[in-house]
Amino acid sequence: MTGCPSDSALRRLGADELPAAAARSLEQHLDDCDRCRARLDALTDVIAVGAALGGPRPGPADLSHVLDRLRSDGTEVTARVAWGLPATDRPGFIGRLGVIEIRREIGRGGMGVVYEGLDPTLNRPVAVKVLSPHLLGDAAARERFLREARAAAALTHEHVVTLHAIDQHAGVPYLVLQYVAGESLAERLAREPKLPVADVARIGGQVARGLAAAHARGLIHRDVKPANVLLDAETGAVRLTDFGLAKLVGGETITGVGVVAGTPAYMSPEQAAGGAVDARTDLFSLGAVLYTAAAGKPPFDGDSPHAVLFQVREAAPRALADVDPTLPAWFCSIVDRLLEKDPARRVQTAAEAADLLERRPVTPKRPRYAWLATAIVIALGLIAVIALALSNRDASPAVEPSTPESNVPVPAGFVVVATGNRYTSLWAAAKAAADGDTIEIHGDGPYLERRVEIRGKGLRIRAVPGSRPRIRPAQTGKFVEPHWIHTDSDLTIEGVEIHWPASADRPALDALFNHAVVHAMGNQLTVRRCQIVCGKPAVCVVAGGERVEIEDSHFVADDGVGVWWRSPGGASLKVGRSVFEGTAAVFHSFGPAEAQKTDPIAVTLADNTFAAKGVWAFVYPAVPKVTVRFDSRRNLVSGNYLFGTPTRTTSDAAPSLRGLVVWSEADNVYDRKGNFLAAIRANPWMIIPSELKSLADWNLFWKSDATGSVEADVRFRARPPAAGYAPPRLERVENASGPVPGWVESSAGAVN
Amino acid sequence: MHTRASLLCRIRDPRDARAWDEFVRIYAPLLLGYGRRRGLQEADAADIAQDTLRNVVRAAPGFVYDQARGSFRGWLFTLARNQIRKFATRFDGRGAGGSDVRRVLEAEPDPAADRDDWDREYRLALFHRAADRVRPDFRGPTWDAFWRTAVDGEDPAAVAAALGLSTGAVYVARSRVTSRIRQEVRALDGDEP
Repeated sequence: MTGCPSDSALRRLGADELPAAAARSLEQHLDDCDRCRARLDALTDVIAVGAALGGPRPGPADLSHVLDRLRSDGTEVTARVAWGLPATDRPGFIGRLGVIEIRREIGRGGMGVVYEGLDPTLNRPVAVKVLSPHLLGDAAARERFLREARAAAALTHEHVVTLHAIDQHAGVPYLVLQYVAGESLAERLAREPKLPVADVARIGGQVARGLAAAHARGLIHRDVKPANVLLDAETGAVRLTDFGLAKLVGGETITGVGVVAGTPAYMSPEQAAGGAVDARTDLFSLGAVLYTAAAGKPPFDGDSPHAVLFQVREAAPRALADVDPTLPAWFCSIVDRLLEKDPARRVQTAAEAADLLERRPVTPKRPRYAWLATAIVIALGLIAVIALALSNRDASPAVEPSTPESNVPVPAGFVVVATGNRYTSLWAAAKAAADGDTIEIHGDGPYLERRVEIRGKGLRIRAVPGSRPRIRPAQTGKFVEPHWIHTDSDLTIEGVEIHWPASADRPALDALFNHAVVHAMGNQLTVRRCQIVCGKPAVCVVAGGERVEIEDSHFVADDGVGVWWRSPGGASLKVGRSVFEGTAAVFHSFGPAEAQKTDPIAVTLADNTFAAKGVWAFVYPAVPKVTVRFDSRRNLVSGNYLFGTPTRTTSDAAPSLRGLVVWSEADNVYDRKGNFLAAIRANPWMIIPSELKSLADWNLFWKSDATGSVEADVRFRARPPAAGYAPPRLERVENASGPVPGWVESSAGAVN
Repeated sequence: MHTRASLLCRIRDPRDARAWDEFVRIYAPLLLGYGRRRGLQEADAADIAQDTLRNVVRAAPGFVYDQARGSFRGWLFTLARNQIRKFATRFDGRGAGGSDVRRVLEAEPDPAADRDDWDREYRLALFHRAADRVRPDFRGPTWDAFWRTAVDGEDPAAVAAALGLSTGAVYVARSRVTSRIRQEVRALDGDEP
C-alpha cells in the first residue's frame, strides 16, 4: 500500500515524539489501514505487554507488614547507605567512606548502620557509624549535628569511646569511632538479664567516670542506656559511646521509622517532659541502667513508648530491695539516689556517683557451690559425707570474717603459676603457659574471651578458692569458630562457668554437632565443678581422649549435647555427680579410625541427674568388634530415650545394641515417661521408639534382674526464665507405692 | 534512548529516598509469591522474603560492582531459592512442622521449570509495577483505550465508539501507553526483561 509510514515514523508515533499534526495524520491513516495497525502493535510490543498485565499480579497488594519488618531490622537503612558506598580496590573490603576502608557491617538498627573499618593512614581498626538519612532532616539540622559532634571529638577518656572524625558522604553524616572489640551491655543483658551486683557496680563506676569527663567539657550524653555501654573484651574496660546523638533526633518520634529520641526506659523525667536538661539527666539514666542490670528488668516499663514515658515522669519504680531482697543495701541506696525524679535531690555529679560505686563495702561472699551441694543432696540422694566434703571445701573461704581492711581483693586475672605472670585473658595465659603448667583464675569475671587454642601443651586451668570465674565469648552472633576452647593435649579444667550464648544463626543440620564450647582432643580431659552452658545448637564438651572424667558439673545444652565423647578403643569415661540438661546428655561415638583399638571401652555413670529432653546415650555401632561396658549406678534418668542406636529400621536396633554393649546397672531411677531404646535414623534425623516400653522389658532385654532400679514419675520444677542457670530442681519422684526412698524431696519449699 | 538510571543504580544514591520503597514494592511481592508457590505458608513466605531482601542488601554492593555476575533477576532467584533451602534444612526433622517443611524440600521443582516460573513472575512483577507508575501520566481516555483493548482484549472499534475516539486514536493510545510502560520497566530493572 502506498502512503504507509515507515517503521521509524510508527515508533516515533508510539513514543509520542512526532509533531501533533504529523501524529494526527498518522492516526487517520490507522483508522483504515489494518496492516499499519499490526505494524504499530508489533513495533511497540502491545500484545506482549497487554498479556503480561492480563496475568495475575504476583504476591499480595498489601506490603505494609513486610515494609515494617524491613525497617525495624535495619535492612532499609543498610540499603540506603551500604549501597551508596563508593568502591574500593582493597581485597576483602566492601567499600570506602572518605579515607576509611569499610570491611563489614557489625550492627544496624533504626538509627543507622555500624561498620568495622580500617583507617589505612594509621592502619588502625575503626568503627564507622553511618546515620540514617531519616534522622537528618534538612541541611541546617545536619550542620548543627556536625558542630555538636566535633565538640565531642575533642574528648578522650579511658571510659569513653573516642570519636576520631566526623564527615559526610552524599549528604549522609558518619562518625569514625574507636573500634571496641566486645559487646554492649545490652547484648550482655540479653544473654544474662541479671548481673552480679559487683559487676553492675564496676560497670556503673566506669560509666560514671566517663560521664564525669564529658560533663567537665560541657557535653551531656542524653542517651545513657545499656546499648551505649560497651564492654571491651581485651581490657575488660567499660566505654560509653554515642555522645550527643540523641540530640540529633531532637526528642521527636520519627514517623514511620519507629525511632524515639533518647530511649524512654532510661530517660530522665525532665527529658521525658521535654523540658530543659543538664548533666544530671545522665545520672538518672545511669541509675536506670544500674537498676536494669541488677534487677533483671528496667525500672519503668509499659506497652508503648508513650506509656513508658508516663511512668518515667509520674511513677515511682518498684524499690530495688523489693525486687531482689538479696541485693546489698548500699547498692540499692545509690540507685535510689540516682533515680530521684527531682534533679536537685539526685546524686549531683558523675564524679560523686563514681566515688560511691567504687567505694562499695566488701560484703561476705555466699558459698559458691551451694547449688551443687543442694543438687547432690536433693537430686541424687547421695550420702551426706560427699555433700559435706564438698561444702566444706568450698564454703571455707566464704565464712572467713571479712572487713574492708582484710579483704583486699586479689587482682582479677589469669596467673600462670610457674612464672607468676598475670594475664587479662585466658587466651593470653594459655599462649604464654608451657606444657604441664597450671593457670589459676582469680576473680569472678565475667571474662570476655576470644577463641582459645592450645596446641602441644597439657594445661590445668582452675579457679582459685573463693573465685567462681565466668567466661563468655567476646564475639557473639555468628558461628565464627566451630570450637571455642580447643586443645590437642591433656586438659584439666576446674571451677569455671563457661557460657556460650544462643545464636539466631543456626548451623546447617549436618554441622550441628561440630560446634563445641570445649573441644578437647588430648589423651586426658578432666572437668570438675564446672558449669558449661551452650545456648547454641552445639555441644558443651567434645572429648576425644582415652581418659575422660567429669565430676560435679552442670551442663546445659538446650539445643544440643552435654558431653560428646569420641572414644578410641580401650578408653574410659567416668561421669559422676553431674547434672545434664538439654536435648542429649551424653553422646558417644567412635573416634577417628587411626585412634581405634579393639579393646573394650568402659563407661561409668554414677550419681548423675540426666534431665535431658531426649537421648542421653547414643552408641554408634560403627565398629562392631569393640565392646562398650556400661556401669550405671544411682542415676536419675528423666528423658525420653535411654539408648539410641542408628539403624535403618527399629527392629535392627535391639540386636545391634545387644551385640555392642555389656550392660550393668544398679539403683537407677527411670522416668516412667521415657522410652528405653530407640532407633535413630541419621538422615533425616528421626527418633523411633522401640517396643521396649518399661523397666521390665529393659531388664528382660539385658537378661538382668534384681538391679534395684525403679521406674517412677519424675517431675522437675520449671526454671524461672530469668533465673539464670541453676540446676533443675526435682519436684517429685514417686512410683505406685509412693515416693521412692532416697529420692524424695520432702521439703520442696526449702530447696533453693 | 532512556536517560533515567536503573533502580539498582538509583538505590545507591542515599539521597534518593524513594528508590528503596520502589525496590521493595517490586521485589517483595515477587518473593512472597515465589515462597507461596513453593508451598510455604504465609508467615514463612514473609520470613523468606524478609531474609532474602536482607541478604540482597548485605551483598548488593559487591553485586553492583561486579556486573560480570549476570542479571539481577538471576541473582535474586539464587538468593531466594537458597533461602528456602536453608529454611527447609533448618527445620527438617526437628520437631513440630518438620513434615510440612520436608514436603517443601522434597517438592523442590525441576530447576529449569522453577527458573522459568521465576522469570515469568519477575517480568509480571515489573510490568505491573511499571503500569502502576505510569498510570497517572495519562489523562483522558488514553489509559482506558489501552487497558480495554490490549489487556482485556475488547474490540478496538467498539472501545473507540464507547470512548468517543477514532479507531486510529485507540491504536495510537495503546502504543503510547505500552511504550511508556516498557520504558519504565527498563528504568526499574536495567535489564531488558
